Amino acid sequence: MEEEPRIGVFICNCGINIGGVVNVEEVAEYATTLPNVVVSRSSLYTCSDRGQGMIKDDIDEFKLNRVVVASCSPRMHEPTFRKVVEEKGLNKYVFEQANLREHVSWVHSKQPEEATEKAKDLVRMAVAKARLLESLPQHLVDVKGEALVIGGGISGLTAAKSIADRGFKVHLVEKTPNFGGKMAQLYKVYPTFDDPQELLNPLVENIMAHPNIVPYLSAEIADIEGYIGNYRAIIREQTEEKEIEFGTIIVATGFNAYDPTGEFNYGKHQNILTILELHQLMKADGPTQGNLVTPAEGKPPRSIALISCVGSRQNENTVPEGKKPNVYCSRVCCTGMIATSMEIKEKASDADIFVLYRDLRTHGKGHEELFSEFRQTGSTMIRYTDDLLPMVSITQGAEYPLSVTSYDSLSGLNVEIPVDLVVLATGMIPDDSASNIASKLHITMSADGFFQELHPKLAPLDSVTDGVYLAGTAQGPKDVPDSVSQSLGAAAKACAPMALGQVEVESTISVIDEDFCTGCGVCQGSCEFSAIVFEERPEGKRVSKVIEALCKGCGTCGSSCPSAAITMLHFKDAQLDAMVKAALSRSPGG
Amino acid sequence: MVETKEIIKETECEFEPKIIGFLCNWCSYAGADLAGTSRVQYPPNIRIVRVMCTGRLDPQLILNTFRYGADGVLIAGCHEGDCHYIGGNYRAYRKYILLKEFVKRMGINEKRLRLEWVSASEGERFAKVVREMVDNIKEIGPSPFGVTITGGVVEDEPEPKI
Repeated sequence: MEEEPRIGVFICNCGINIGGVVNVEEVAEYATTLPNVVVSRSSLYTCSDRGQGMIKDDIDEFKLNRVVVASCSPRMHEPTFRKVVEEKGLNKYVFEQANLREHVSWVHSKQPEEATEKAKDLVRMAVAKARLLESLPQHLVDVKGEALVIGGGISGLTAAKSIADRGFKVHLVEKTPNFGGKMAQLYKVYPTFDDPQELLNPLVENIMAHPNIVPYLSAEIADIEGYIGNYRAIIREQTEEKEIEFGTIIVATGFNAYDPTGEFNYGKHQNILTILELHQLMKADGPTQGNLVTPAEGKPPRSIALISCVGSRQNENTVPEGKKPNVYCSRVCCTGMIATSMEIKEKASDADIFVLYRDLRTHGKGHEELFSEFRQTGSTMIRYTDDLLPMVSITQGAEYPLSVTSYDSLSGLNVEIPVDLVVLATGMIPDDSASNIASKLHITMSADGFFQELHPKLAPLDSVTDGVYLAGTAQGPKDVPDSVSQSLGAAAKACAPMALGQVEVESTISVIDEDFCTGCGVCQGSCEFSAIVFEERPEGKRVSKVIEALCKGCGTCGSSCPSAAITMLHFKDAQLDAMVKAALSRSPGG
Repeated sequence: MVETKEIIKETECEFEPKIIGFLCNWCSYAGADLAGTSRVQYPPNIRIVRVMCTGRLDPQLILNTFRYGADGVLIAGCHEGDCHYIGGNYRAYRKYILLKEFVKRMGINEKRLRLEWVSASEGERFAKVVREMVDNIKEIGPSPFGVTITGGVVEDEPEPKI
């Protein structure tokens, strides 16, 4: 019944990502010596059309029934190559991937010989497993045509409306009493100088009146469980709790402004503000009806300093003790800062404006044009360096309440500026809820604390969990146009499985061999998903049985069974054992 | 208990331990991937076997891994409370405690077996764990069950002691 394995091994150079360190030709040559390998080749990019075509041609020509690709992480391209073998009529579980990039060339980049040896080992391990791979039956699950959108800022609102407009019901959950998020707190958005309320109000009205949207304000997710297509959550809105069911999730939890307490004397004087606080001050419905006055004196400012990169692009030397440096660029602050200085000029035309910056990064459509305009306003530019931050001091009894001193690398001079107002262009940090949401949804965060996309280039809207998508600044700093684009994309992604009504889920589940099962029930105690139950057999025997739809495929039951009656498909004992044996053996036979 | 079996032959090569890492797909394998994406360098002594959850790890498999000559075994999974399968990592931990006893009885230094929680965002930490393990095992020396010297050949498998 079992056919002899015919394995094709395809080694990827990944441009120079792998080939620049690992001797790919040598590994490909070596693979031909491994048992059951009938063809082994290298290619520049195995994931490219050409690389995929090579695999397909070889499946035909060499009648391959197993395929091993040694390239990047299976977390990245396993779905790609599984599709390739499926297109040739093979079962997707006869594919095995060895990770020569993330686990070899990128981490041993200065040890080409050792890296090549390790690559051979990993290929030998993958071939050893491939020899024992089996075709598995396809499992489909129904997808409920409702979505949950977490976060009611511009990203969440956009995504919710986009999904609802396609005819699917949306549960939109916002933790504050109002929709609009951080955007609603801004005075203007740039480079267009739009009033954010003018943009948000029609959208919010549309959301509130939309027949397909259920809005929840001052609400939180008390509990959530499930998997793509079949999620269930308890939403707590003030004192009420409601249970809802849905198929997909969009995470649009947004950002928080960086808190600069402990830096630049922030918090020690009322006239030292973050840019968000200044915006709130300039709003028509703000505390001064939009008049720009200094908070301490209530007078129009005569001299103002704006400081960039506060809480962004930090390094170990300049970050306050005990804080972890935010090494990333927050992307919106440069344009925000120069545009805000232009707004200040409008409101206080006699004021002297000093812009203290490290580098001005005004990228994006219309941003560089705005920068050219800004240069005509006569503001003084002072360029500080990343190891010498400007200092803000509170003066006693002087004409101006504050004083900013900085080294200016353009003139090579140390400058001292007496000012009424200091504005800190603070960057973005992840929202407080991020880690809680991450653990509830089993999605991951990158080192900066923002949610991690499945792939930075090829899957920027997917989280690591099927059916959970990322939108807006929850994934990383971005401006309104980028947040909206990403939200529309995430909405489209969330609609795809709902429109299909069914998705294929992993067939890698546990199966119990009834002949070996003694009915002890240990496996049931080990299953976190209550996916194993007893069944009575006519001969009076009691056996355990796996409910396939509930099994998540962790394999914990299998390792707990005292009778070895449970097999974890695709990660069978024999398959793992063969990999380990191959790893520790130098002979090709494994 | 002390390792008594001395089967390593005199050689000029420096001892390069072979470590097998069983990493869960969701946290630690992703963490090892992040080490790569971040270009964090660590010694090339580890061979990673991906499992969906550390809870899947059968103690027999770990014992076999030592029997086949691994100088060290790393089990790495999600942090407490972060398991993709709710509590698979806790079950792995229970087995690990038992395994520690078992390997000692096999005549294996228990330091060769290590369990760590490494999240998907801890690429740097994963590299650190591997570095530490390699250093520690270099100090202890080769496993009594096998010889894995760079450029060398594996000796015949000794019979397991248990």
